[in-house]
Amino acid sequence: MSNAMRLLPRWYGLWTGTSEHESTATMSVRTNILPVMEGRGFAMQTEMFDPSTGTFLRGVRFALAVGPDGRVQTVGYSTEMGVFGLEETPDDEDVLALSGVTESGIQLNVTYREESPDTLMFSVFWRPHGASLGKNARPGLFGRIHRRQPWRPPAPQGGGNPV
Amino acid sequence: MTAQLAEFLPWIGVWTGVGESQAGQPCFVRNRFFPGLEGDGLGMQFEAWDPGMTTLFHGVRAVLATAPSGVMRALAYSTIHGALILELTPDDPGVMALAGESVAGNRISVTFLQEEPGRLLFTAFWRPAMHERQPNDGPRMTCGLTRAVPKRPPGV
Amino acid sequence: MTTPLIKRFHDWLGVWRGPIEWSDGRRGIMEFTFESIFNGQAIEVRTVSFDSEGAPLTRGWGYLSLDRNGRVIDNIYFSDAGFSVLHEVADDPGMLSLHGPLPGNRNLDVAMMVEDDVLAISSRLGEGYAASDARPRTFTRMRRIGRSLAPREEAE
Repeated sequence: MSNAMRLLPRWYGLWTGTSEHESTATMSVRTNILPVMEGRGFAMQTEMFDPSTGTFLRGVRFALAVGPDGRVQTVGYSTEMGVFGLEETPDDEDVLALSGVTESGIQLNVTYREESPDTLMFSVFWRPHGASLGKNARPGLFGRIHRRQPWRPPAPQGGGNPV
Repeated sequence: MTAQLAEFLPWIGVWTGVGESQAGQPCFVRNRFFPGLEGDGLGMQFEAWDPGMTTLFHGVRAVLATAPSGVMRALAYSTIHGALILELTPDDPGVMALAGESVAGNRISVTFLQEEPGRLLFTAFWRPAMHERQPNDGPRMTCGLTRAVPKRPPGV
Repeated sequence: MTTPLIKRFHDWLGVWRGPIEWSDGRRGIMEFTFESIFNGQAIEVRTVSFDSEGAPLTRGWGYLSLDRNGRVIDNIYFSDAGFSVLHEVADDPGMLSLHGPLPGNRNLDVAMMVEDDVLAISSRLGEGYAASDARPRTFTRMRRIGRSLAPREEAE
């Protein structure tokens, strides 16, 4: 089984954290991972916000599934780069690695690494398709997201209340 | 689909902002409206986080639907109040006002007011069952929400 | 971390579809979707039924959650019955039995069970104090569509 189809059911849920970008300040990140296509695939929906104003800054959505040829591929949309399709590439067993070229000619590489059951580290880097990595191979965007449980009031609010 | 429901369909999308919780804490709010019930309902997911998004103070998932009697209610689950059924109360155009009691008897009020296109004002409060006489003008959560509008990707 | 709710209902998550026969003799195809929300705090249940031509007949929505005693609360909406809050009543292990009131001195009881990738649901609308157990029931037996979400051991 591919890393993607093994890891994503485990990562099903709501994750938040922060992300750094070379040219912008820290952003808040919210990622929702959920089954789609009747459980045959998974969607990853990521939104990034300015933490001081709550303003939406960028968003990425993609669905990922096993194609008829057995390869794991995505169909996605990024507010920065437009439509893209990525393919899973081999990596360590705790890593989801995706790579491809966007419709606008950008080489895109995305990785999610499971640091712990409730922490994912991600990195995204991009360059014009065909350009070499150059001296600076640092990810363009990287961060950590954590699985969050809702806060619970310290005492029950009354009979029958589940909290 | 009822005309009342159709009024809220332009709100479908993601709305975010920074506001203050009923307890006076600063919070980041994300609210998403989405189609539900095969087009006969309006789904909602409300999240109030601390500004760093490390703690989900309150999450609510809901659908606004029409009963056979014609009354519109929001069926919801709240991470604080549990199972909820709130009623859409009459109000001005551009206002979604929901009110009701939780299974535990807490009194809850939720209002979205369209201030201008792309801008909603969210206010909400809840009062515990044992304080039924507490006035509605007590502390409440307030947050201005702006529609999440992405930058246009180059060449699109 | 898995919540007690997901521990109990992990095998239910996903999409289910199969024939339904209503208590009044109508027949159709029923689809249920169970989706974990707020990292397992509740399960959103969305339903739609179709006739043989694919036209929707009924729509429904609900939230399964646990009360502080660990019993299930299911607040539901069905397009033909309206809103209700159902509470779990004692039944055999593996069976989820729920009962609750509907407007107009009516009530609803529902029994649900998942076994061998089949979700069987039986429900009955009762009316008045003389509602009889002998009234016809609506019955559906749905098979899982697509794959289960994760190996059982990973959910625990």
